[in-house]
Amino acid sequence: MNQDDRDDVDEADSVPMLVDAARRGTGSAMDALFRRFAPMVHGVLLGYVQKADADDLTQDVFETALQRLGDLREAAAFPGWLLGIARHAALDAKRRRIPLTGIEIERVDAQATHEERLDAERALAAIRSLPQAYRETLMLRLVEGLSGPEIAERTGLTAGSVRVNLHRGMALLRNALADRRTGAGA
Amino acid sequence: MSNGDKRMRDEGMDNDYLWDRSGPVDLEVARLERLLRGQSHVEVPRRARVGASPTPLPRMRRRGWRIAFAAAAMLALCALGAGAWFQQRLHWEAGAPWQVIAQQGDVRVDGRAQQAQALAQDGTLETGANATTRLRAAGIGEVAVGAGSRVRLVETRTGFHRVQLEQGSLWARVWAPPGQFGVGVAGADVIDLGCEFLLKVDADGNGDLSVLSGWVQVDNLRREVLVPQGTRVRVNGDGAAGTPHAFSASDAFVAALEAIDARNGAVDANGEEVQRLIAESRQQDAISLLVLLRDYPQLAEGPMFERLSMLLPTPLATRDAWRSDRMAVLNAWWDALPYPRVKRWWTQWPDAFSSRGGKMAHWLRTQGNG
Repeated sequence: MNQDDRDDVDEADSVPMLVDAARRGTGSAMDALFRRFAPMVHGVLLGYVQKADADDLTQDVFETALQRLGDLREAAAFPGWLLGIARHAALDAKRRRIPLTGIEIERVDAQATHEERLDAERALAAIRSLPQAYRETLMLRLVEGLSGPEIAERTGLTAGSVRVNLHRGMALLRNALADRRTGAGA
Repeated sequence: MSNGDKRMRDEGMDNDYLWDRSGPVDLEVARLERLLRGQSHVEVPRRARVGASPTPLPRMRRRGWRIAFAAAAMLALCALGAGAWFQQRLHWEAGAPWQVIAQQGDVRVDGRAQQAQALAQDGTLETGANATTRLRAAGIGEVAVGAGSRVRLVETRTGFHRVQLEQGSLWARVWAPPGQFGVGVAGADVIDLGCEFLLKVDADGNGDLSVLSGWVQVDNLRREVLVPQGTRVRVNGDGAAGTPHAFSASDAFVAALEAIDARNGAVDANGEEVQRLIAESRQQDAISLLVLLRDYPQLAEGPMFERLSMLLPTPLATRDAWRSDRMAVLNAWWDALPYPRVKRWWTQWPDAFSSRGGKMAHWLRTQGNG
């Protein structure tokens, strides 16, 4: 009988319970953590690298995190700790400036028109130009589709901080997009 | 109303749609959600490393550090070894002969039929029908010469190795910094930029170059063309090289491309050949359109500009940008091409461990010269 058989994990278990089970080597707990936090990690990575690289790096971040789970002192601190690993991986990839999957054209919705694809790229570029706190929160809200309360839960930030980041970031983004439209039209 | 609520209202933070999608829809937010949904995380299974498990025991950490230091020391030693091996690989005494690895059929070196051991500098190697020879290209790679070929070793020394393919076929696989290995043909120089390629020419220097990995530069005084892996380009003994096209390009696309090349620059941006080319173009054909726009900028006045913008979308590629800074637009498109970068030639490291020379030599002997 392996460890997985002895540990019954519920998808809705609290983060500390899942982290403790994952520390004991329970594969289903690791999978549950991955499912719950992968969009958060992906959104943070997307603030630095292209989508194809973010897809790959998301897996790398979880491999690293699950390998180093023994170093995490407080299971409840998992979201912030994972966020730190994701940022480190993103900065490292950006510093190397090597597309991990070769040179990639940003993936876009297959149904999108050419104009929409350009708009999407402009919007992504504008979000990437924002300060980190706004950039990450907006990526999670607009790209990964998480709500404000979900962002707070997955990042370990307070709801108030997330709300402020969302609104100030969105105001900056509106200005940046308006500037780009004006610049393009000029 | 609490002070916090009042502050949020004052700062315009009562947009509940942005917060949790309740309340009236914020059209700008909804539009961005729709535009960006294609970028989101796609649910996939977690990639599990075989044998991986968390290392939860704190008492193991100190031992873990010792292992890490030992591993780091080992890596440093490996790096030193790899550096020394690389320098040794690039070093080649000026004029030293190239070793013959294998030969089959009627092979002559400097006109004499013999079981050759080496090809000396300025020596000429000729292969008869159904004959083939494999050579070690100094220390940096391997060359296979196909049937019915004539090859001369022009010069060989550290950092510079040149052969002349007077006719026939030649396959080369090289792992070295760009520019160290090159093949001359009647109308051009074919310079390795870290790659594997196949070159076939007739006695007049007409033929084609197929790049199997990395990049190759084809150069004469009339035109310089960079040819990436997965593409082929025509070489002409008495004119400029053609425009590269994907191996998988349709016959109609290649025919239109050749018709444009034949006009030698005098091509109409809205001409019939251009229309046919665009109608046949796919994502993999972006390299051809990009090279044409680079060499014949007047084509940007026609539909080719929009077509390439669709195949390689980048916010920089606007007509205004093209008119004000053409090189910036070309560079943006160049960066968006789905090929490994020339400067990253070293990532083609499998080319250092050639294992296909025998197969390629056999292929060249049986059909490569057909």
